[in-house]
Order: sequence, then C-alpha cells, then structure tokens
Amino acid sequence: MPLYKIENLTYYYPDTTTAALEDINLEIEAGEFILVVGGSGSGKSSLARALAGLIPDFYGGRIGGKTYFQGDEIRTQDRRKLARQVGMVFQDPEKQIVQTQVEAEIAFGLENLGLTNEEMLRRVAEVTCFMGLTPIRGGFTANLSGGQKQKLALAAVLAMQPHVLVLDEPTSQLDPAAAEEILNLVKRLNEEMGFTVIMIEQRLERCYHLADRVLLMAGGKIICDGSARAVAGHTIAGGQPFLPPVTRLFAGLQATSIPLTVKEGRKLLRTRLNTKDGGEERHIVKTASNPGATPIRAACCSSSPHFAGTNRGNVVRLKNLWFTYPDGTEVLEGVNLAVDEGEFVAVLGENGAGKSTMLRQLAGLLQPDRGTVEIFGRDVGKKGYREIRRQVAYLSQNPNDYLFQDTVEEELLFTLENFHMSDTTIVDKMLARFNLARYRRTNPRDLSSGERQRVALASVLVTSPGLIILDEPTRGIDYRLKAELGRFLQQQAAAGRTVILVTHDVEFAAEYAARVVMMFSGRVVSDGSKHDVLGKSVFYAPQLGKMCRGLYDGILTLQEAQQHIYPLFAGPTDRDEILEVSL
Amino acid sequence: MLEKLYYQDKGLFLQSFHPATVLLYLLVLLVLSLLYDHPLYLLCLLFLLACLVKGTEGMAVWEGFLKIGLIMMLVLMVVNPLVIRSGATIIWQGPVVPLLGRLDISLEAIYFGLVSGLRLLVILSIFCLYNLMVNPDQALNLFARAAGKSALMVALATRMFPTMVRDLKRIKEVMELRGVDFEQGPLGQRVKKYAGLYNVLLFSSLEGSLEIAESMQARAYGSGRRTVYSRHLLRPRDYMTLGGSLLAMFAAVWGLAQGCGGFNFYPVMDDLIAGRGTLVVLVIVFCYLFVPLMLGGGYKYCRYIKSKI
Amino acid sequence: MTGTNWGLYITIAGVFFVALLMLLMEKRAGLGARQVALIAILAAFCAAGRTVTGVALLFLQPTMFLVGITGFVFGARAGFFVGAMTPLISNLFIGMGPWTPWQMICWGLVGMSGAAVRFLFPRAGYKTMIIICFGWGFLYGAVMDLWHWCVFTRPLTFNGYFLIWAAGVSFDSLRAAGNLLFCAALGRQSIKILNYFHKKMDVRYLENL
Ligand SMILES: Nc1ncnc2c1ncn2[C@@H]1O[C@H](COP(=O)(O)OP(=O)(O)OP(=O)(O)O)[C@@H](O)[C@H]1O
Ligand SMILES: Nc1ncnc2c1ncn2[C@@H]1O[C@H](COP(=O)(O)OP(=O)(O)OP(=O)(O)O)[C@@H](O)[C@H]1O
Ligand SMILES: [Mg+2]
Ligand SMILES: [Mg+2]
Repeated sequence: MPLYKIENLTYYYPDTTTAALEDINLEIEAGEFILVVGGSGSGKSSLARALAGLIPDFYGGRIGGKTYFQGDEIRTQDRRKLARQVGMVFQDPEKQIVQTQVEAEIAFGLENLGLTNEEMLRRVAEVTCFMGLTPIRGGFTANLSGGQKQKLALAAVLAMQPHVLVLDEPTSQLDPAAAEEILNLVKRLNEEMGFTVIMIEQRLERCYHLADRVLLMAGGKIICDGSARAVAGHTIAGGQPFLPPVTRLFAGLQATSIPLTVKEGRKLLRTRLNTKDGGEERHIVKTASNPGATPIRAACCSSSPHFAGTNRGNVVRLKNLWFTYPDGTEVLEGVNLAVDEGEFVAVLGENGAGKSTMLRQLAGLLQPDRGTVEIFGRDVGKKGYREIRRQVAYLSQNPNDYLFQDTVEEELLFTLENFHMSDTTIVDKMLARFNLARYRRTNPRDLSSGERQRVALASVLVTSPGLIILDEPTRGIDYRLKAELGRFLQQQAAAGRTVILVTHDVEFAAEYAARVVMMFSGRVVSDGSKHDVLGKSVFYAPQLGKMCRGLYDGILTLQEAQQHIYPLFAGPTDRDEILEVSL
Repeated sequence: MLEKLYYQDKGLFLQSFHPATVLLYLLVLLVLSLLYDHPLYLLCLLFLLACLVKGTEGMAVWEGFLKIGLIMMLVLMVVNPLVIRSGATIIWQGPVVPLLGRLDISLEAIYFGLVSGLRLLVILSIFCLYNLMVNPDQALNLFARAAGKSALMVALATRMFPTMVRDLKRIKEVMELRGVDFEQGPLGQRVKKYAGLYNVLLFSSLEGSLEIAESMQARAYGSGRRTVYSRHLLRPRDYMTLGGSLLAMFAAVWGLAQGCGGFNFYPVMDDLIAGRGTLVVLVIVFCYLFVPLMLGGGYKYCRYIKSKI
Repeated sequence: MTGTNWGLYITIAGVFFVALLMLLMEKRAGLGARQVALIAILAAFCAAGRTVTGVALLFLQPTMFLVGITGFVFGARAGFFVGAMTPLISNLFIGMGPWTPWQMICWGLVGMSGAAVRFLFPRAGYKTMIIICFGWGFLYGAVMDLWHWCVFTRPLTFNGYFLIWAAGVSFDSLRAAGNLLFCAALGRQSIKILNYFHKKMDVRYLENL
C-alpha cells in the first residue's frame, strides 16, 4: 500500500477560474525522498498543502478528486491522527510562528502531542542544540532575523519527529552553511530513520542529488516524474532551467547523460584537463573578464582611502556605524562601507549577522547609535527617510508588508501617485518584466509566495529610483525569474543607478553582482570584487566555482564556465568520453 | 510608548519568579484590595505596589495608569456625594432638583468617593504590575491545562496584541517609504490615509490568523489531551513568596473577623485608627506581603542570600 | 453596609455569568482551529483599537462598530466571543477591575446584535450597522451605569440611577458619535474585508470531476 495515493486531484482557490492543481495523479511510497521543482506559481505549495491535508479546509474553494493517506481518504481521516504523522514546514517563516518565545515555540507541537515534560525537555534540548538556536533560546520570536525564524520553524516541526516531512522551501533564507547542514540532516533522517521527505526547493544546486525522485511541475500539473537523472534529461530536452548549474553547464554540451553533482562534474573536467594539458593549473584573468568591477579595497579598516572625504561620487557612505537594539543585542559593530554610483553590491553573510539591520539603516528606518549614514551626500539622521525616499527604493525581507491594495496594478499605481508621477506606462513595463501581467487584476494577497515577492519588488521599483536596496529579493523566485531580475538590476546599474542587495543565494550573487561584501557578526569582514571574495571562500562559493577550483581557478558564473570550458570539450571524439565518465 | 504596555524581559529579580507564584501573589493583593475598606490599609497597598513597580523598572508605565486612575477617581468623587444621602455631616446644602430631591453634599460621601478612588488606583496598579512581571505566554500555559477553547482564544489574542502593534509600526514605515505622509494634507485626506492604514492592518491580521491556525493545525493542535512544557523551577524564593502570600491572606481574614481593616463611612465615619489592633494587623499583613521585595533587596546586596534563594 | 461587598458580589456574579455564557457558546458547536484563531485575532484587533484610542480619544473608539460587524458577517457566536474578549484584553492594559465582566457582557451583546441584524434583514448593509452602532453607544452607557449604580450608590433608588445616567450621558453621546463616525468611515471596507475571509471558509466538492 503506498503512503500517499492521489487520484485526479483538482483544486481551485476561491474565485479563481484557473486551477491551482489540475488532475494530479501521484503515488508516494513510504521512505521516499521526493524533490518538487517548478516555476513560481506552478502549484508546488498547493500540492504540499494538499499532502498535509490543509486544502481545502483553510482556503475554501472547489476541490475534486481523491487523496488517500495510508489507504484512507484524507478528508474523512481523523485530523488528529494525520497531524501526528505528517509534519509540514510552510514557505513563509514570518507566518507560521505561534508562540512569543523561542523555546515555547519549539515545545508547542510537543505539548499538543501530549508528551511528558521529561520527553519534551529532551527533545527541545536536542533540536535547539542541533539547529544552533541555543544563543537565542529565551528570545522573543518577533525579534529574530529572517533566517533565525526559518530555523525555528523547522526546529519546531523536527522536534515532533513526524514520519512524513513536507518541507516547503525550508532553506530559502538560510546561509549556505546552515542550509547545507539542514539538508544533510533531512537526508540522514530519510536514510537512517526511514522518514518520508517531500521537499520543495528552488535552489537545486544543493539538493538535486539528494532526492530519490523528482517531480517537475508546471501550471498546476506534474509534467515529469522520475529519478533525478531522468528528470534532468527531460528538463534539458524541454529547454527548462530547473537544473543545478553544473548540470546546466554540461547540458550545453549535449551529452546524453550528464553530471548532477560537483564531484561528477569535477571528474569529467579533470579527465579533459589531463588529456589536453597534463594537469597544469589554469587561471582566468579576473579583471579582464569583468571590466565593470571597481578596484577592490578592504573597507573594513577605517584608514581606507574610501573615507578620505574627498570622494564625491559615493552614493552610500557608512562611517563607523554602531547599532544596538533596545533589548540590548548589539548588532552592528563599526561597519564601514562606501558604494559608488553604478555599483551592484551583494551583501552575504551568516544568519543574524546584521545584514537586514544595516539595510534598514541605509533606508533611514533606524538611527545609528554611533557613526553616520550618508546617502547621496545627505546625512540620514532622524526621520531622514523622508528626504531620501524619493530616490531610494527599499524592499524589506517580508514582502507581505508591501501588499495592501485590491489589485496588483493598483499596488504599483499607489507608489506612483504618492510621488506625484503621472507617467503610468511604466506600470505595464514592470508587470511584463516580472511576469505579472496576467495577475494585473488579482488581489496580491491571493498569489503564491514568489509572486508576492515580485509584486512587492515591482511596487518599489516603479519610481526608477537612484538607489535600490533589496533585502533577499531572490527568495522564493525560480531560476528563470531570478535571471530576469538579475539582468534587470544589471541594466539599472549600467544606467548609473546603485544596487545593494542582501542575498543568501551565492549563485545569484556570483552571476550578477560585481562586488560582494561579507558580513559576520556585525562587521564587514570581506569586501571586494566577486572573484576575490567568492573565489576564495569555501562555503560561499558557487557550484561552478567549487567544481573548477584547483582545476581552472577564477570561474564563477555559467557564462565564464561556458567560455572557458566548452573549448576543452571541442572535437568529435569527446562525446563518447563524456558519456563514459558520467555513467 | 505602546511597547511599554506589555511584558518585556529585563532580567530582573522580580521577573525571575515562577509564574504561578506571581499570579497567586497578585491574586492575594487583588482580593485584599476588594476586602479592605480602611483607607490606611489601602494606602499601604498602594505604597507596596509602588515599590514593586519601581523594582520592575516600570515607573513610566505606571504613570500612565495613574493618570487614568486619577481621572476616574475624580469622577467618583463628584458623582458619589450627589447621589448618596447617607452621610450625616452635611457641608453644603444644594438646591432642590426635580426627580432627585435636595442635593446635600456630605463629608462622608466625599470621603467614600476618595476611598473608592484609592481602591481603583490599587486595582489598576495590580494589573500594571501583572504586565511588568508575568510573561503572558507562561501565565496562559498555566491555564492551558484546564483550557477550553475560550482560554485558548484569550491566550492567542493577548499574544497577538504586541504583534499587532509591531505590525502597525512596520506597515506604517513601509507606507511612509512609499510616499505616504500621515501628518500632511487637509483633514479629509489624512483621515483617508489612516483609513488605508486601518484596512491594511485588519487585512493582514486576519490573514495572519488563518496562517497561524494552519500552522497550529499542522502541528497537531487540538489532537487530544495537551501537556504543558515547563522549564520553570520552584526555587526557595517562590516558596517564601507563596508562604508569605498565604500567611498574609490568613492574617488579613483573621484581622477582618476581629474588625481590623473594615471601615464604616455612614452615617458617621469611624476613627482612622480605632485601636492598637488596627496597626498590629496592618504591620503583620504587610510584613508578609513585603517578602518578595525583601528577597529582592537581599539578592542585590548580599552574596550569601543570593546564592541561597 | 458599604459599597465593598456589593462590588464583590456583583463582580463574582458577573464572572460566573460570563463564564457560563462562554461555556455554553463554546459547547454549542465545535470551534475549529481556524475559527479560534480568527476570533482571537479580531478580538486582539478590537482590543488594540480600544487601548490605543482609549488613552488618546477617551470615548471615540474605532472598536464597537467592528464588533458589531463581526457578528454581522461571521454570526452570533463569533460576534459574542470577539465582543466579550475585547474589554477583557484591553483592560489588561488600560485598567482591569470589577467592571470588566459586565463590560464583557455588554460588548458580547453588541456582537450578537450584529448577527441579529443579519438574521432579520439579510439584505442590510453597512448603513444599517451605522444606526445599530449609534444606538449601542447610548445603550452600552445605560447598561454600564446600571453597574455603577449598584456598586457605588446607597440606597438603590431610581433617582440615583437617573443621576448617574445623566452624568454619563455626555460620555455616551461621545461614544455614540464615535461609533457613527467610525462606522461611516470604515464600515464598508471592514465588511468587505471580513467577507473576503468568510469566503475562505466555504468549501465546495466537485464530486464528478
Ligand atoms: N491563497 C490563495 N488564494 C488564491 N489563489 C492562490 C492562493 N495561493 C496561491 N494561489 C494561486 O495558485 C497558484 C499556485 O500557487 P502555489 O502557491 O501553489 O505556487 P508555488 O508553486 O508554490 O509558487 P512559489 O514558488 O512562488 O511559492 C498560483 O497561480 C497562485 O496565484
Ligand atoms: N527588533 C529587534 N529587536 C531585537 N533584536 C533584533 C531585532 N531585529 C533583529 N534582532 C537581532 O539582531 C541580529 C541581526 O538581525 P538581522 O535581521 O539584521 O540579521 P540578518 O543578517 O538580516 O540575518 P538573516 O540572514 O537571517 O535575515 C539577530 O541576532 C536578531 O536576533
Ligand atoms: Mg510556494
Ligand atoms: Mg535579514
């Protein structure tokens, strides 16, 4: 008997005419590790909710078809029994925290299961320790950083030890190291404890190879279902981008079978290099391949020439910035940063390092305790955002705050009206740009997470601001839209606007940013061109960078890789070789 | 300003008690404030509360409570003499008003209004102290054992209260960043802006409620008997305070039975200090009630006591 | 024979009465997690409104109309619970006291009256609610004066009640005016928003698909 059996499941959200799930047929065996991939709005989260038995009760709407869990129909099943067996982590960490204190939140599910206090103490201790939540154990959930919230949401479910884990983008806001750790944990639970895992992920580079089975979704349907390798083949054939970078690189070589992991890719690459050059190391010249990059300076030391005071071109200048939250957490410790006009800066760093806090200072939403924040040469003091908001677009980490009009279109018009801008043609452009045209008249609250993220983005970018500050704009966005966003921001930078964004998506930073700033526990620890910063890092290296490290140093992006590696594989005999290695 | 209204963990000694202890202690204070009529006793209660509020660094919040209390006290003092006819010492003979009869103002009625107002201040201060000393999550967890749905609703709602204040702040920030000036423009426009803010807040709160419910459901909420997670230890300080509260309650009831702590206003007021008994009972009761403050003092200034409690 | 004991008795009576009402309401039909959360949030919202403006504007509170509208959209049970919890929670912050249970009953009735309007006039809109809320502004004052009268005046005469009521009438009219203004300004939107969520409770099964 399969664990799940879904027959002809069709589901419409209230007042919609297109189905969010259409004619889904699916069987899931106990102990499988399933990865669900697909574009934003393709129905992944809806499927997850259906598996957890939350659709349609929490959403209303129309539903048809049958879902069986362990042989019984999920609708008629005892909800209590179901909740004990299936654990679900939702997509938005902001929206699933029930208690005010971190520890109480982890214990909440355990209390509901009726465990004894000893058992609860044990499990809470275990999971708190494992997820690295010990320092914030007694803290208030509302004060956590985005990533900490996500870890907490995950911890709360893991503590319950359900046998079926439904994880909806559980690592979208986690730093690479934490994400890695959690994915490994999930894999271990699956392998050693026999847990069934159904995971939705947009950043495939870290989990594609973990899955036994991959489901590819589009338009509410499952269009491909099979082993990772089989689906990869199908995805390549269909010209879709839902592949890890390594796979995408080798897909361009039109092999019939292709590597899925860094290890496989390296193996393949090494054979090529050995045969052609006898294993000698290669480098590409950094600045040549990337002429737009600014000269690099270590901005963390205060004697840096950036702050000599003569530099008129700085759009953003942070000088010795200190900040402590009212509850006493010291978050920024002497941050120095200078960004020139036309730069595209990505800020990376661990969860809780103070990235969002720094951006809030830039937008004038927080006042520094010590030090100054200058934007366009103006000191952003108390309520300073009033002066600069016309030229600055700021998107916070929680896009839901930006959605309050009745339709997506009004949302964009709202910003324009407030700034007395009459040219509304830009609205159409933005909607088209972010692939939102078909939701023009939809209530923004009725969209999937990724779609909301894009609406929020569009609504702050309509004013064509001179400085664009974005806090994790890439979370919940699929590959295609991420590329679209990246190119858009690059164009903006090229047009003389300044872009500063925080992201945990190393691939995105490597692909599109020119300069990378790393933060660690309230300080800027590394600042320079992306080749300098990401090329040296172990955890903060993009997949292609890892693959090429030591073999062909300096490669970070797909384009660079294609440019330098494809020639190696040129020649008629190579096709067989690729096949041989990757099989 | 609003942040001050709800519990904040400041790591103070007075915040380190077991929630059950604090609740019992505050309950005793509340019952005493309702039982006592004697102005002296009520004044002492107010003094005790003032010390406790100071100990929890909540003077700023308390001031707000006092303001409301004083206004209500004034209203009582005005209305009471106008409607009460039981006092004997008439200080002002008013005109005859249709329906009400003669408006005589008696000293006793004013005095009664004053004492009622005092009691009101005490009650308000107790709840002010509650906000300062008790983490609502933990307090409600205590009730969760017996909980029906209503208790849960109250729990959730009190929890959502600070969240909502934060949401409001965030949404307002975002709107201001997107060009809305709440303090500018003619009144009509300003009202419209605020109405917009109200709509967003209502909408996001309701949306939040569904999401929280979903998350609760997914985590087995309501799947039968619920247990309560507690990492609280009952320390000596809790036993001492609990003991103090119970003894104080016992002494107070015994005192009342002996006629200490009651007070007659009409037709003529009792003496403020009727006999030695009044003072003796007062001292005994308040010695017991001061236990947590004394412990706090010891905790602060004496290493030995600190290590023992 | 002073006010104290009356205060104590009537408070205890109020507490029991409220507890009984809540228990009855709760038992009538199972409340799902969804309803529980929805009611809690609305109550928190109303309480926040009452607290924030209660300090600033005294009696002009953007709250009572919302309780009425809750009953109007979600029915008597939700209306009662939201109403009853509003003073309970807001009083935690602006002043709890023996009057709380009676306030809870009053507010609960406001919520239930909204449901009654919906039941009697299914086609009513926010205009009807404006009138109802305006009326409640005075009615609420009258009921609460009853409490003040019981607790603070001796002997209990009709004249005494009348005087208290007369003293409070200015406050009552302020409250009624507040209800009227807020309901007129925000009522339509609020009904729209609540209806949007009410819709999410409606599930249809397409059996033949
Ligand atoms: N609460 C809702 N009410 C109405 N429509 C919704 C709701 N949530 C999602 N939808 C719609 O249903 C479709 C599928 O949404 P779903 O959330 O399943 O997408 P998704 O694949 O998870 O996307 P993402 O990667 O952006 O999270 C989308 O077109 C979306 O607009
Ligand atoms: N309002 C607040 N009050 C108190 N502490 C806060 C508050 N907001 C954030 N913090 C704390 O400040 C630290 C930095 O938070 P911040 O949100 O800046 O992190 P971040 O670098 O953006 O992390 P993430 O990548 O997880 O979003 C965290 O430890 C967090 O717990
Ligand atoms: Mg989703
Ligand atoms: Mg952040």
